[in-house]
Amino acid sequence: MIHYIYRVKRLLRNRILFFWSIIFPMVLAAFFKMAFSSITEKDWAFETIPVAVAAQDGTEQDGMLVSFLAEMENEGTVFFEVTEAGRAEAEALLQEGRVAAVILTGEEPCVLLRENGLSATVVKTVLDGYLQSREIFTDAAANGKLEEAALTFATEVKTLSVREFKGASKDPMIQYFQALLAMASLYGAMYGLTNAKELNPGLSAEAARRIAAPVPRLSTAVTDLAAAFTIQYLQFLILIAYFLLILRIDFGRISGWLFLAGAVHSLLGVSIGYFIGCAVRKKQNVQQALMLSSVMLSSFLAGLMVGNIRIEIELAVPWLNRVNPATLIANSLHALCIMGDMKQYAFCMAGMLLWCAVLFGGSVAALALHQSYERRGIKGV
Amino acid sequence: MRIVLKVAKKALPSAFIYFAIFLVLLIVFSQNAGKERETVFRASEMSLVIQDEDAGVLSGALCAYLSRDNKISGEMDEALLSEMLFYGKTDYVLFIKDGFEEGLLAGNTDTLLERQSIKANVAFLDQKIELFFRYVHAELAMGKSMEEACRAVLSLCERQAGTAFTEGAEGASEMAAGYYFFTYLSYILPCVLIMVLGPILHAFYKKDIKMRTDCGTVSARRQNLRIIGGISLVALLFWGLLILLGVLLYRKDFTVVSFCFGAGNSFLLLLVSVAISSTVGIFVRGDDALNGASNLISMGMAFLCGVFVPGELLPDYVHKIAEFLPVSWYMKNVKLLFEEGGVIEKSDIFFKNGAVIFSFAVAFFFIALASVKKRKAV
Repeated sequence: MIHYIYRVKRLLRNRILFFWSIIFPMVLAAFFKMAFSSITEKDWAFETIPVAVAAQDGTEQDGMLVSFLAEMENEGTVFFEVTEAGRAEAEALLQEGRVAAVILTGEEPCVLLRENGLSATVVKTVLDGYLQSREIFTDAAANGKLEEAALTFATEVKTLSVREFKGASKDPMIQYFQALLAMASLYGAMYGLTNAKELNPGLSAEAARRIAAPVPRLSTAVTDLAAAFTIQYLQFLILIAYFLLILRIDFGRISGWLFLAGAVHSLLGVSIGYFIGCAVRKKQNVQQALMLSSVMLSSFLAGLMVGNIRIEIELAVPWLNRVNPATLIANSLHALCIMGDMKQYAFCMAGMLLWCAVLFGGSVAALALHQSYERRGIKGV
Repeated sequence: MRIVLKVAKKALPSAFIYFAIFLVLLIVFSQNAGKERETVFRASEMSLVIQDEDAGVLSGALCAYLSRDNKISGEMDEALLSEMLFYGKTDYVLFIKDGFEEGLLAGNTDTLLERQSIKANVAFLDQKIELFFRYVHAELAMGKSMEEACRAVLSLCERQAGTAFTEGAEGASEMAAGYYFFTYLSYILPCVLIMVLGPILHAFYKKDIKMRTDCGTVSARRQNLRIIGGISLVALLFWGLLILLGVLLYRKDFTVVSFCFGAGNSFLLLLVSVAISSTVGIFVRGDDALNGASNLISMGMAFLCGVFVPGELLPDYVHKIAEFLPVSWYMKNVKLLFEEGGVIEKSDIFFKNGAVIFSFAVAFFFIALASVKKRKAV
């Protein structure tokens, strides 16, 4: 126990490890929060579109169209804020950006725009609908069926019903925070790397000193692993608390399974560090560069820098999502907290545990191999 | 000078990762860039998935009706569909259940036609679909069969309102690719320079090295001048390389004026970045810590100043914080170059912003000098 406590203290005293595994993700999360907090609302919200209605030269204002536009609404919010104006005034409003479009009424109504976009599409779609409805009545009148057509048209029939999205959150920006949590978990590799370095006498003086101590090597290795895992897991808990309580991020459904997932994420991070530390017999800065680049690449593929990359990979190269450690972490969080898909969660957990087994197995094999070479006096391996 | 270059060379591999990220960002965003302002109406295409179990005449006509202005995909696995909706790859899913056509004729379509979306701004599509059924009902009321009614509605939908664009409307709907080049330059310059120049300053201000050079015949003034000359050379080489890259990749996007002003603006940012790098290099000890500081400073400024996320989408309090950072003034000038109808009309604003960036450079330079003195005193 005493060894375990000293090991925890030793690892915690390393400020660089502490910075990368907790301070950096926290600061990055704060930046994400600042940058993304208003994107969803501004991009996807249903907003009333300001439009101006003016009569074409030599015609009169189409009062029916004005009232048609003014009455259109969705769940209590009107589609358009209509301003009736003369043509010159309406065009000036459009130039100043105070309206999204100008509808010119007359025999052949048309839309005057400043730029393409969703608002322009909505205005055009509604005006098309108005023209088509007008045409259907003209056609019905010509066939002597105006009354039937008008009666049917006026009858309010709701054909379309809404199926609710089953996810616990509709905010896709959460994927950045999931990828960030994945990156933070993988930075646990730094603790694994430090442990591996201080367990290999060929790599550091500390390791040579520790190996000389009258403690079984297996016991030292297990204690080191437990210490690294404890710190990484605590950091996971701190990060989750920071996301939920301080940044107030809607992480979806929080259940006990999340804490189990956190444990596996932490173990995976630490195991990557152990593997690089044992298998790559290079200088410490080379090992660190390799570890940082692997974590960065893995996190990039999990969506840390480019949102939606996970779904793009899922559609193009799905096997990559099944093997990339950061994607497995992010997907386990997504399946558990957002979709409530326990099957997918179990699949990701199994994938991560398999990775842990392979990486720890590889580390032990690399260690044993190098020791056997060292015993036989073979250098440079 | 040679020693400066030797130390800088050692820091190049780690800087290369960030240079690669810069290139990837440039490539990804340049693909979405627009070249000219559009003057022809183009509907905002929604991405729809239609799960048609009915496969009747009516559902076929509905698909044809919606496919005019939208991108329609066929059936797919429901779990994948939820993911597609969540990630915004699909805007709208329409479920047409078996027996829908009969239900519509009988006046009972309860849950036979459902839609799923996580965006509120797709309400106009709901209206469009409801309108389609009103047309069909009206045509049926005129005594037509379902097939005839559907055909009539589809031909009716050919009737569309005309569109026109105002003359001299300002602003392109999409940014030119060159805009992204100068935008991401504001992330890569401080990031890489801190990582490359920091170790140089570490090397020269290391206690033992400093004591040894102080014993030499070269005066402190000349030593400092040589260090400044060395780091300026490294910074200029890096900046020159980036500008050359910009010319090679985006020469078609730049006018001579926009390029010259843009390069001038980025040169001012280079001065700030060198000054920041010097301050950080003197304050922060250890290459690992330098790496962390570089990431924090460059990413922090990039997020707060609207480099990664457009400034219009940032909350007001972030804008207020960003006023105290040089990158936000740099970004104002970049926007002037590409957004607001050319820099020539607003050159006074451009130069004012440039003066603010320059004063940031001077301020950081004095902080760096003060920190050198402080370290000497220690």
